[in-house]
Amino acid sequence: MAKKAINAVFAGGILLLLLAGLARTVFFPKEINYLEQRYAEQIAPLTAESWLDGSFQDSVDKALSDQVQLSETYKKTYNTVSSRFLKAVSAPILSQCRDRYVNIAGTLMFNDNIVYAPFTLEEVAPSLDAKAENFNEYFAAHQELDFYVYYLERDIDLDFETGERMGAREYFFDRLDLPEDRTACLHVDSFEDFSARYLRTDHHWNYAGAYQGYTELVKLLEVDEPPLAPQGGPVEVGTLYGSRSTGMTSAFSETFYAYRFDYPDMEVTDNGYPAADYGSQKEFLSGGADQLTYGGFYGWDEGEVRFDTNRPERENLLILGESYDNAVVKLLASHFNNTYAVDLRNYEPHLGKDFQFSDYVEEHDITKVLLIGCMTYFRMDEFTLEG
Amino acid sequence: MVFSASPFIYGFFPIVFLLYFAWNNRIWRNGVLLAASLVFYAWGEPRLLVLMLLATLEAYAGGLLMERWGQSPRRRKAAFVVTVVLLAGNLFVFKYLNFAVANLNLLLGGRLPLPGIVLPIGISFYTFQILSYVIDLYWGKVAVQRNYFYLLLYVSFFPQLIAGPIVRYQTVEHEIRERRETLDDAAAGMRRFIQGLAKKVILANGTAALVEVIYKGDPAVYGTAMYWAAAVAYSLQIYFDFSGYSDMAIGLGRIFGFHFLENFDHPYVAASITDFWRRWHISMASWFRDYIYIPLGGSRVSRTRWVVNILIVWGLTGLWHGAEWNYLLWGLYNGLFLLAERLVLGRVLDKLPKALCRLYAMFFIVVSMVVFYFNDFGQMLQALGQMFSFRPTDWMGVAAADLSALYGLFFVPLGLVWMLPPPKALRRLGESDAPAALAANNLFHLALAGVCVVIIVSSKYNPFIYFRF
Repeated sequence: MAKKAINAVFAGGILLLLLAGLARTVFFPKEINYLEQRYAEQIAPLTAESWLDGSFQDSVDKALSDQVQLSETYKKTYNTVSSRFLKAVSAPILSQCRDRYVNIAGTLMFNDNIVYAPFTLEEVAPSLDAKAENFNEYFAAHQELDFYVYYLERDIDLDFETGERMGAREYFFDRLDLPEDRTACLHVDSFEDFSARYLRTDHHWNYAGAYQGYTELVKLLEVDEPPLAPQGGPVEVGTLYGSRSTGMTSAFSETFYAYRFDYPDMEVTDNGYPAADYGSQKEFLSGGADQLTYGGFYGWDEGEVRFDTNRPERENLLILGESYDNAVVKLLASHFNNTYAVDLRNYEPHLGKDFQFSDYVEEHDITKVLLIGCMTYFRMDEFTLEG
Repeated sequence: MVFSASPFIYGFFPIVFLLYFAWNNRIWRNGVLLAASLVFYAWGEPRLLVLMLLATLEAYAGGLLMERWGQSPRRRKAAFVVTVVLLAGNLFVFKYLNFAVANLNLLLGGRLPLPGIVLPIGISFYTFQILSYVIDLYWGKVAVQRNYFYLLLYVSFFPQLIAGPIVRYQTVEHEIRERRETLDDAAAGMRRFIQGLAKKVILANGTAALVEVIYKGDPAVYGTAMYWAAAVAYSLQIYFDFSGYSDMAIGLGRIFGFHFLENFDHPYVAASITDFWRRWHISMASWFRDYIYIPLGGSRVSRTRWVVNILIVWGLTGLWHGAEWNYLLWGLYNGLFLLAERLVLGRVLDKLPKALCRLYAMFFIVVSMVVFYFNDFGQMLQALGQMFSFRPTDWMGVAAADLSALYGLFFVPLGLVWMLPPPKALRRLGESDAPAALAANNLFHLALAGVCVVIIVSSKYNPFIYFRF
């Protein structure tokens, strides 16, 4: 009798747990996966087509992984245990492997930084050629505008082990029909340069790199006033698990620092809607925000963010960039009347219309256009100018 | 669908369990199992389900004809031969035709277009099961199955459908019609399933990390030690992968009242290659013995003919695993060792201490697994070369090339312990019916299941190696 009862509890318990997971997935699915900061997977509608092409089956697999009770706890536990284990066993090895790339399940580390492998010029030249050609068309067609290009050199631009530069930035600038003083770059010539300017666990620049970029941009854009100065030294904001700190490398974190600035008053419009601010610098610096990320602090990759300082005597600036500019757009906006920061990847999804360059600059009375990003920005088709 | 994926664990299994035990009628319960098995197969191979239905139909019709022509040996034999040829032809076309055409082109310099036929999941397993029914029926060992759906249930029964064990019809002939499901069997089946799941999810996938890193990495980085580590890791991976699947199949069968024969018996403690093959994939080895080796005359023939028989059987065993030359080579390698042990080595091994015999067997099994792993002969020779011509390992280089190799290395000693037969005391505890022991046993399995579920939900790497066979 006792045997039966023990076995009944065992078999019944397992069955109930499994059925609860299934019921949650089918009948009460959650919408957001907070752990991975994305929409939670759902079961796709079952049709003959979705069954035959396997998409229904895939969706069930993914949905269960997201929806079953405690799935986020499972994932967090798994990542924590595996990454802590890896961190523990790798610590002595990493300390022995100074100044060489170390691969952790496809993620590269160089000293204490999680990095990307450098590209060769042969790999990137065709896409850089295409982008230069695209930009040149617009430089020629819009002679009334002042175009500027700012290139952020980073880990993909040079081999830290050998110190060899890939030369992509030089190659690209050579192909632009712009005077030399309309181009500039965040110069990275060694790992030391890189680690001083970039986050260790994230692919973005850090407070020092971003501020250096901002001061160089002020100069490049021929702004006739000095750059905003930070109020004091860098402030410790919190612990950052950067964009590259995922999976096996999720145990790697760093302290995130930022400068505090006294920004002039400006109205912010986010994708056409009035917003209190862009990013949450104030909240983080006052300790009133958590879930620290680069985007959360400086602002996300919105289709369009408009900053209006209500100084009509100044010019209007259009910034066409990627996530790197998130850290400097508000600083740059301090020197212009209206500043429009557009991320071409998200313009149509967020605003529901295509970005037409000529119409846009005319409509917003733009006088200066800044094209800013790292090598991938100058390679990706998503950032090709149209219209 | 694989047993170690969320859709099976959270969806398929609990639904089938509930539907099955909701009926108290054998016909309906079999109906639930049959429908579930077809859904299980169609989950991954919706279009190729028809092929399995037709192959079963061939065997069903062939069986009926053999019975109808029971008084006419020639006609009965004709029905048997035609059925076997059709089934074997089916397997040949879907598994070996691409390989045959590619090699014919190579050999004759021809330009025959490659058929590009997709290999249906589990075709080797279910074809061998169907053949066992047809051959046993011809030999009079089993009675004809007049109900197509019962025969289809035998062939398609989801626990053993796609990666074995190769269950013979005579093993389940009776249980298809009459079987007794009990709560104790269900609990024991669940425990067995969890053991198999743990073997697959923790050990097979864990050791696979090391194998992947080394065999897919830059050969210049890894020295002799790492190539041996990879060979051992792969031997463990394939054992835990396949025996884990068999455990899950046996456990699932038991939940639904079926009692399949064991498929593995701690093969890596074998004292010879012959002993290894009594312990490894027993259902396949015995299939080849009973349906190929013995009909060829077995050992009751001339010495030369016997050698040829062994080589034929082991060549076919190799090719059964896949249409690649390395599988043929792997089969012949094993066949040659069996011959050598029967002729010479066996007498030497008898005189050696058991530990040395085990070391000998393990050494040559591990080497054979390298042959099994590489379809590309260049890579295979390169790996074997690394193992047998000493090259020091640059450990820092290994770490730099992929630190996750260390993660895989962690599972190798764990696997080496787990592959051994459990100590008697532990075995007794596991089999004990005493309430405290049973409760502890169930709790241990619940914890093990918890670990597996955490890994399954969190990670996506879990393909079964034996699926492709």
